[in-house]
Amino acid sequence: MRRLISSIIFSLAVICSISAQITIRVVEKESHDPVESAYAAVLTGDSSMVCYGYTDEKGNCVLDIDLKAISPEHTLNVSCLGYSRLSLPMIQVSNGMHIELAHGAFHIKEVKVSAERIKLDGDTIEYSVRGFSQPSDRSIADVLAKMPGVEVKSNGSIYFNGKPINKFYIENMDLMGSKYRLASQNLDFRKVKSVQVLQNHQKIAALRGKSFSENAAINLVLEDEAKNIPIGQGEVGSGYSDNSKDAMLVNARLMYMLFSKRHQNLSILKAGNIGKNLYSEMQPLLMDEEELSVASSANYVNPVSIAHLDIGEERQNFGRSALAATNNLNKLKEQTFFRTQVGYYYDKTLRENHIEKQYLLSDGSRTDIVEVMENTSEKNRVDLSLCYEQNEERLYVMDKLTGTLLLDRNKGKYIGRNDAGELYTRPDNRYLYNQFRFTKPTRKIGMLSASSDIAYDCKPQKLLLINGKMEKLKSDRLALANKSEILKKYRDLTVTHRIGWNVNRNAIESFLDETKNIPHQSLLFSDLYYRGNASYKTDKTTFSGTVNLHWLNREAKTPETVFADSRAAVDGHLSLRYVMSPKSNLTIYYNIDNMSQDIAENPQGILYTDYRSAVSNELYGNLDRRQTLGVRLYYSDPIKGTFFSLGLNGYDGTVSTLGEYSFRDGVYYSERHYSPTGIHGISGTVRYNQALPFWKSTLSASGSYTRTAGGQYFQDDIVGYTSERSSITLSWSGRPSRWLAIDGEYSRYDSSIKSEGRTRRNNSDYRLTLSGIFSKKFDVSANMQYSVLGNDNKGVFLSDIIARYQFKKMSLEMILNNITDQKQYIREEITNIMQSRTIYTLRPREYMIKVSWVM
Amino acid sequence: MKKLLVSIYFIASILFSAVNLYAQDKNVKYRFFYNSTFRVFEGAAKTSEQKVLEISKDYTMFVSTNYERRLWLTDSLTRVGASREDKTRATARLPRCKEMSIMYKNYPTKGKLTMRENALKYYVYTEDVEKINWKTLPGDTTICDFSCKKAQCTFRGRTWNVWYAPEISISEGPWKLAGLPGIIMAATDTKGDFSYICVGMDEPTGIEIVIPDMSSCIKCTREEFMKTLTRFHADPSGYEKSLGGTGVAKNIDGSIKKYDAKKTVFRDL
Repeated sequence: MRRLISSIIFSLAVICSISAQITIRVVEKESHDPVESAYAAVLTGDSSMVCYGYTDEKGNCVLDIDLKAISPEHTLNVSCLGYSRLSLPMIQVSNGMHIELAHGAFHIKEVKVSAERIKLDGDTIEYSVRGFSQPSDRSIADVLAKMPGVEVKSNGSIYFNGKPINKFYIENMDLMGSKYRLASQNLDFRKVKSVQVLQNHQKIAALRGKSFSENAAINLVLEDEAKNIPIGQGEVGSGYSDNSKDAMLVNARLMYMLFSKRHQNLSILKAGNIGKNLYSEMQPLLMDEEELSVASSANYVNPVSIAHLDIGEERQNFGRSALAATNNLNKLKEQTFFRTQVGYYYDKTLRENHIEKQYLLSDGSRTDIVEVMENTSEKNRVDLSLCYEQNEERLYVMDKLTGTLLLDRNKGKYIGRNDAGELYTRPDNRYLYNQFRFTKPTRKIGMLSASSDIAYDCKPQKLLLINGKMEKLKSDRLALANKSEILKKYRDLTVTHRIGWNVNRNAIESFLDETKNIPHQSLLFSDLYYRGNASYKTDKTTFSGTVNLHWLNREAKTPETVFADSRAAVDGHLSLRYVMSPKSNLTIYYNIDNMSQDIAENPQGILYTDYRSAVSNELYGNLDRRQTLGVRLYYSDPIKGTFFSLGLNGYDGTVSTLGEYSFRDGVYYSERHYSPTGIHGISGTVRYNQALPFWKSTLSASGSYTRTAGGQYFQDDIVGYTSERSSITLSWSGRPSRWLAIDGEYSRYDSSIKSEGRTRRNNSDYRLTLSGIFSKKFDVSANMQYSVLGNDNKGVFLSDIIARYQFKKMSLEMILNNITDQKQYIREEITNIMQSRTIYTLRPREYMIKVSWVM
Repeated sequence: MKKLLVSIYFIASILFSAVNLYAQDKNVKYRFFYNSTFRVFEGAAKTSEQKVLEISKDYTMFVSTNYERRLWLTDSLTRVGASREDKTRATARLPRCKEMSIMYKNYPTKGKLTMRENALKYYVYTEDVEKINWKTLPGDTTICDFSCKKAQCTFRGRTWNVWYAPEISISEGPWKLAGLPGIIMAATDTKGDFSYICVGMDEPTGIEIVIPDMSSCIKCTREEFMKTLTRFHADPSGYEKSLGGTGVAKNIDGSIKKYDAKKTVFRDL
């Protein structure tokens, strides 16, 4: 009996469990053939899924559902590729029911594949150009500036995560060398598919995996249509300006480009009077340690020019300029290249500026200078560069010969508070430079490297002084930087031994009318050094220690020796880099520097540098000493578009040469004296970039703070001063809707000094670019900028409008610059010896029409 | 006689299955493109790659778009009788792919899933298509202009949160994820190692699912392949030696290249 009851209970349980399943059969409507692999799901009223299954070869599908739990809201959905989807209320469904599916095509609306904005492949970060471009962008540099982690400085140099890039490649070939601004500023961004950032890029193939680099390189990946065929790009524009001296505006640009596997060429011809600074496009932006040590120094005689405005030089430059340049790269073998770069630049510029300077003099007084300058400068510059480079894993050889001829004439007038006069300077320069590099891996001694840099420059320069006298100066300078290096790797330890010799020899003399203000003198500075470096690298940690032993020689002869000294100096560098995670690393460094002042370009005597300034050298200082402790923190998550860098450092040291500042007969004298005094300071920079996952937008925030405390002459005594500078910039760019793009920036600069009373200067800028995209062919961009000078709380509003109509490969632009016709723009700066207030004359309202095309 | 009949039946059934296989429809009806991010090794940064889910009437294929291009080119060259060197030369300039893994669903037969993997050699394993137990969750979002609903499952040791589009009645998805009343538009695992987000879709014409010749691949089970890959990543030199290679790679200065042992991150735990 018990068995019978158990059997009944068991049978009932089986029956109940069977009733929690339902079987349906899916067949074709016309033929009633079973449909295999059809998907059937029971959904609730809010489309939540209760159960699902697939049909077998007989068309049967078992669904695990309790029929008692079914409500009128439940539906059975059946779908299969090639059939129309069927949906029916579950209450109509019974066990074993035949469901008929009718043939029918289901169409999805096409969604074009949008590439990820940022991709990561090992150490390479790839940015999609379309993912970051906005309608107001023209060149690839405009788009680069919006990519998180990438920064484009006002001089065109490109930084990644706070550090300058070490190469700029186009299709993996180094066409531009150090003059990459010419390509970044002129190459149409629509020709570039993506930008690759090659992190920790070692530019010498033989050193890859042996010598670590913290700098990145940039590689432009072109659109397929831009490869292997000649590309022509051009623009012609004309218009009208309210400027009575140059009312007719003209602008032209013609470009020829070819990027093939064996040959690359970028040639450009630009001319116009719309205020573009073409000179900076020819300036080299990449220089290594040796190149910097022999590079042509600054002019002795300053051209009469004003520091460029940070609101865009085209708002302030008046003049006509032209640029013709051709850059050619031939691939001789797989990794062997020959590059030729020829450039010519002409500029004739008229500048009008109002400058107020208050000099803080060492006798405790302050002198105010107010002057209005009108100056015409005319520059002719020719550059030639030939470079052979073989960059293989087994051998690296590079030789580059560069020549520059600069003819620079500046004429004008000044009107001071108490005086007026003519301005005339000729800071001409002839420069010839050869750079040689060699690296070869050897079995016995490891990696062998040698380099030689030889530079010669001749500066015949002229300057008209405030007293009407003409200074004529001639300088012939020869600079050498030679070094040999052996790099040996012992498992995780890399040891480098370097011996180098840097020489800077200068023959200089200067006449003031017929009298010598700088008697003929031969100046020599040489540094014979040994540098030993050991780096221990593991997965997480890199520890590096460097020691430098210098033997320094300085000599000044007229022709008798008036000054000579020799001394040994030791300095060093310690750093620890710790990789906290694949996304972040921390570097702590400590440097001790002991360096003599390079006297080769500081002749004894009084040297006039502009019409009312002079530098006087009587004695040369001893060693400048400095110790620095710093921390750098990097965090980047390229997949999420996050880039963060933080740098903090503090230093303490001694400066051996101090300046004494006086004003006599209208001339401002800076007299250098040997007078060691302590100097210390702290500085910090922080930068955060974020690509946001909506509206194609990027957020950027950066800030910097520097505090320096030192000494300066004041009433025959050295008194302390503390100077502070800070800046903050916030920017956001994005496209919140199909028809609107926004690019906004807020920046603020503060500078102050505390010595004899505290002075502070603040400048704030608000910039906003709004672009209305009315159709694929027509868009309008409005640039607006409001700048506030903190102390006066006086603002200036600048605005431009650009309307563009695109038709196939051509576009027509109507440009209206400086709509509100602002005449002036004021900037205030403060340093420990001077505070200045410059009133810049702005370009007036302008109207232009421009036609551009890409072939 | 009996033996003869058995042989005839056996040959006929092989021929029939071959004809049947040939008759299967490889024409791609829909393509869904996903941005996939994944971690290859424990502690390593995530990397990303675009993947495509190709759906024909009878099969689905899930593969890296770069790898698919490589497969397509190799397949085309094989058809015209190109040599191995020609194929290597032709594919050398194609973009690199990060995951040389292909997944076929309903291949070789309905209800089966075939994976071809790479660990210096090609491995292939076949398993049953596993039915995933989904739990629908409250939540709505829009991906590629399609409104999507949320669902969750635990599959092979990982919990996946997915968004599916009921508007597109295709019950497929990236990788082995499938079985929802709409295409899976996005999927992320809760450990943060893997994610897929749909970035595009189309209905192509004239494209077929490419199925390479897998006869020379090493046949194994999923578990065996996972063990092989673990061994490869833990000791690449030793693994290469076990395949008959030297297991030694040298730097330019002649020193022996050192490989670091890495722990593989698997989607199937």
